[in-house]
Amino acid sequence: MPQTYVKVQCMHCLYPSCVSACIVGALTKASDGAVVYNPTICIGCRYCQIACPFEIPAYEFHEPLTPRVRKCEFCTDRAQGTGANPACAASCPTEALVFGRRAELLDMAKSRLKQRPDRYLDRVYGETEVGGTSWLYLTGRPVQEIGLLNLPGTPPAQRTEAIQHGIFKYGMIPIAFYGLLSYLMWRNNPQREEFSGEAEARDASPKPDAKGGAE
Amino acid sequence: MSTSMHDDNPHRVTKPFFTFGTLTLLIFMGVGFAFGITRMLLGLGTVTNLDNHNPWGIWISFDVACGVALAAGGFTTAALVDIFGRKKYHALLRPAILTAFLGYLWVAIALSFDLGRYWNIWRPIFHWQGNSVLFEVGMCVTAYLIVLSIEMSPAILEGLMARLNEKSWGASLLKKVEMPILSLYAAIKIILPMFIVAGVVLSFMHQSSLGTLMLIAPTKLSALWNTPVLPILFLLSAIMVGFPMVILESIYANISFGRNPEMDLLTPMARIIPWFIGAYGAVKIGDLIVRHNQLNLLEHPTATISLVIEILLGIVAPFLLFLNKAVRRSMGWLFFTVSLIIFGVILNRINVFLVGYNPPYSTKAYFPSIGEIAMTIAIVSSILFCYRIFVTFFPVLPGYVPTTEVQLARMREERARTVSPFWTWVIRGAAIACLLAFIGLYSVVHIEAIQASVRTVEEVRRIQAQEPAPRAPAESVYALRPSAYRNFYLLDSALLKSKADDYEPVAFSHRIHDELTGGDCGMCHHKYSADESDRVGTDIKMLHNAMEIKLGGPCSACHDDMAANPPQSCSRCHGLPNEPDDPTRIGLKGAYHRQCIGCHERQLKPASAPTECAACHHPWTPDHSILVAFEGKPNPQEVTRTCLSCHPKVGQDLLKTAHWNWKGYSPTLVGYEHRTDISLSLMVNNYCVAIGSNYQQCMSCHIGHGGVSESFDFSNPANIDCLVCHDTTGKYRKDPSKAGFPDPSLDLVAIAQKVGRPTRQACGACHFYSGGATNAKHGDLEPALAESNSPIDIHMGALNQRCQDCHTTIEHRIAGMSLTAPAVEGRVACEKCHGMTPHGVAGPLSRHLDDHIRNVACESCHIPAFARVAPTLLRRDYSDAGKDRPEGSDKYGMPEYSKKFGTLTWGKDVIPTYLWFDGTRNAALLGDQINPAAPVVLNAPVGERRNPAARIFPFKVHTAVQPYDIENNTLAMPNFLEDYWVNFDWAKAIMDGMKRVGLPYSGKFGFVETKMYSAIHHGVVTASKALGCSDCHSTEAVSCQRCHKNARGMDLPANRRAVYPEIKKRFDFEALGYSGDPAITGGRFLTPMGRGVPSR
Repeated sequence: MPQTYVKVQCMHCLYPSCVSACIVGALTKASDGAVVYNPTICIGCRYCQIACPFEIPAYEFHEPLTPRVRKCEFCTDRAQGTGANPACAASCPTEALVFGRRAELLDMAKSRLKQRPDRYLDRVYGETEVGGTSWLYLTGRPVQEIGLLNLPGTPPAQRTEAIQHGIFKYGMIPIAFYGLLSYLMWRNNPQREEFSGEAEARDASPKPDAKGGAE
Repeated sequence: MSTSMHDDNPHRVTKPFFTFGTLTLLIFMGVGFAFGITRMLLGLGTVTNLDNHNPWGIWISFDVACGVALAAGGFTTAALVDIFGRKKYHALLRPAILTAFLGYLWVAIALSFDLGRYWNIWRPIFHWQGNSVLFEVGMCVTAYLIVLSIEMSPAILEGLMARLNEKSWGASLLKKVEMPILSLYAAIKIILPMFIVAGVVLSFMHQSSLGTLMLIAPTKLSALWNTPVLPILFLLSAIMVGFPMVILESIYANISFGRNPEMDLLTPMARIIPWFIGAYGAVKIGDLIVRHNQLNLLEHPTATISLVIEILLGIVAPFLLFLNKAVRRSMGWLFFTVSLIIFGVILNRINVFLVGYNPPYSTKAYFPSIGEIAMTIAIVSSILFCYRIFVTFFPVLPGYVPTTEVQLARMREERARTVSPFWTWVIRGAAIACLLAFIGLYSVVHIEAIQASVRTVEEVRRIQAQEPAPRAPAESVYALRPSAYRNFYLLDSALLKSKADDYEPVAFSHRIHDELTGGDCGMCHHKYSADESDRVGTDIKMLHNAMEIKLGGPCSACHDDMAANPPQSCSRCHGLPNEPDDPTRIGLKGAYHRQCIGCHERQLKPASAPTECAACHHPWTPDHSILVAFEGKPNPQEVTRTCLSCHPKVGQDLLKTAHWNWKGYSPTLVGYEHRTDISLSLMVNNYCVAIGSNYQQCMSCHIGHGGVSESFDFSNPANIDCLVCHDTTGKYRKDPSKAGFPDPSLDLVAIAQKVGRPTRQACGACHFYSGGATNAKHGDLEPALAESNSPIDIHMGALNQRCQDCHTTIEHRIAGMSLTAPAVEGRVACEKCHGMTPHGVAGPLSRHLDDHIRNVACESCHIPAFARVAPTLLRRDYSDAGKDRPEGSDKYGMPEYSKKFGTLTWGKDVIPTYLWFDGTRNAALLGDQINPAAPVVLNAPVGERRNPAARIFPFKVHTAVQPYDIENNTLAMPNFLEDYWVNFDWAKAIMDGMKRVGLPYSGKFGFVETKMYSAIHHGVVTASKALGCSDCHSTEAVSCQRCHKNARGMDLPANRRAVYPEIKKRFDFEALGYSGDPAITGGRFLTPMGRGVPSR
């Protein structure tokens, strides 16, 4: 089997887990499709590394004060306003790396699959993986042989976001829960006693108990 | 409630503070925080075993995740006592709240060691990211820490209030703030219930969210724990572990303070626990059963074992134990059972965060480093230590003394109790506002996040739509990004550019590739574009199909006018990569590489179709102006030493080369095939006769410094003259009288800073001027070859090739052979590039021309004449030298006579002499006997017609009349430079010269006619200027109809052209050994008619 070279970089997922995971929004999906990093507000929790299904974000573990998350950013600065290619695609001598609009690239990939069924397996890697990625691969070997992962079609972030927003939507459930507990507290303390260890009533306590959160 | 022995009210612990236990804790803390400081100074990578695949270690899984879980005693006990009104447990509440408070506090501290940019820890407060589970955890933990401090504050304030009566300076200071303390105490009492409830709600929120945290990595988290109910499991297990933590802490604290644990409270509390274990266990095991077909128990055996332990020891065993009344009543069993539960929860958190986390690309499994473990021990020690401090200074644990501090505090509180109902409601209102604000903010964050998610989904849907977006040039201008992102990119930098330009462009040979493709140009030229504006083109096959022409043969069969109408260039369509108007069209560079590499990879002989970058592209020489620096003006040897300091191997290589030693392996020298000692100095020529007698002048063409005599140190690399070949400025020149040293006026630094691959000019600096004058010796090597686009040689002119493109070099050994030099370090042949069928496949004459290849060297036809620009010397007559005759000027402007050399004969556009040559040659060496009766041939190509390896090559013949020793019959070696050209006395000059070379000399000399050959290889012209058939053969002999009886149309006059019709007998076939014109009489390998038996 001849050697197959695989370029590995941030896939710039359409539904990026790292962006969903980032606690401060230091990772964002830019309007041109790139997932970009803002070190200024990053707190260095490395949850993005946990979240990324491709294990792409790299961390400057040996930087004591200002470590950064490092990953492909589609050459933010170059593409800025100029429409220039990312450096990798610009310098690739055989144009194995092609840069363009995703729909067009997908079109191109599909037509190549049609033209060269002998050369490529009938799969555009990245078309549906974790909800679709911005890097697309055509390969003549099964993806797991060349170190790419077989990944589900649903974005992982969708599940956690569903859980989060399901529980905390408009704060409804916490508020309701607060109300319930307040009611229980009111009901279970008929003497309108003091709380927090002041169980034994010695002094007359004129205060009614609180129902702060019931509003 | 006055003076009972057992007082449930909290009291300070009055036992001695510094004991063995606290000192041990201090030592643990010291060791651990030493690692902590190291992390702050040198970074996480130094202290921890974390890497890019395992970014979270035990500082997260244990310090944070377990820390939060184990602090659950605070909210569970608060709920039990205050919300569910089980007042009897209130004695356990303050220790539980303290434990929770310290737990969360140290979670935050531990986290700041783990965060890479801990100084940014406040950022989440201002940068909301509601989609992030971690944001949810972070905000809730922060809020709960505030709640816990409110819940803790009564104990602190009571501790302060009780001290008001003491007689110390501290108390007198406190006295001054008595009123604020009392007011605060009263206010907190008012708002406390609200925050107790808030604490429970917040705990529910973040305990469950901790479980959601790892669900974002479903492909990494083992299926054993990867379940959507993981948040519920985390919440239930936190609730489950709350009371066991209170029991553990109570038993441990009381024993260590020498008290009796409050078994009367702990035993009933233990009765509640099995319900929680049951709830957690039911959901957990139920979940595993429901998901049983997702589980692969064998995938990660460690994880499976860990899960089994977690369930058996952490859920099943304590559940069964707690059902037993005796267990609940025995302090020892109780301690053991709650320990099991706590262990189970810790193991569960570690399982989810570490054991079950299996990143597929991870190369090594994570195990905590010593630093991580020490830090973790230090964090636990710190919690215990802080607990000890707190219970010493503040009333936390239930006391035994008659008047508790709480009672003392309450007495004082009387004054504060006079808070008016108005202020009570103000305080209460403020607290309500805080809670509302938190909830409001929280909702906003989530609404925003939900909207962001919706937007993303819509965007994804739009992007995933199959229809390509309509192309509009304006759209290629990308949206602006925040300026904060514009940081530290080195792209578009000089570095990247210099990497791309590391290689020279390929010198692509259409000729070779035409032959290899069988003349099918369409293999590369796959599309036709009618004009400049058409950058898409029409497919060649479709184009020809439309004309009903079947492709496959040589294109030139039809397109015979390609020289006049060159095909369109690749760049008509292929331009920059990824051009927005049509991204499917690859750029020029990509087009070239993709066209080449496929065929190159498929070739059977990889050597002839290389796939390495450097095999087609020559690497550029780096700019030496930044590499080479000297102080002052270096001498030539210092320059060489500087070169060798970076290229030491080159120096050693060069010491073995013929250019350095002027001798070497001489496999083509007949009689000396296996010798390596035949030096150039042993050769005799008929120009200045020999090196040995004229060392100093000859050495000015040696690639060394200072060769004045045979004593020259050939083993010292510092004597190498690097610049004479590698100068690209064209300024470097050796001083002929300085024995190989350069002209002292040269700026060697400037030249050394501009070194590069040898140019034609650099090689020509010696080779164009050999024989003492421009082009005097070789005839085919003249300065015009160094000019760009020179018409006299196709390779060096139009193709701008360098000498070393044909004279390939290996470790500075340069291929090529001169008939006048003994050593050969490799051969040059046209066939190496052009093959044995170089005349194309399409032309009517191709086959006939290719039939010549085995008989006639390419040079014979393709170099019709030599000395095209500079005249070459054809004869010199030393016998009449030394006379004061006028030099004169011949028709080329060259001197006809020289006092130094005698009569000279020059030639220009000389027609070569054609001889058989099989690649070996004879040579006259110093001291060889000669026969003066006939012209002495000093070197002669070997070969004759019947030698199948021999072919007809063009030669220049140089004749001379030169002195010889008439007694010994050896050629004389006069010393010209110092003797003859000064004194013009042959006798003395020969005497001196012969002494120098160490040959016997009789003292009597005469003159003899000598002859020297040099092969003509340079000055190659293209087919249109090369010899035609009729230049050698008679016109009738090459008539097509002689064989092709029916091929009337083919018989074009051009096929029988003669380029030099005035030159008769260019090939003297009889002299070459043929019986007549081989086109008629038959060649060596072919019959006159067709291909068959070779004629002899």
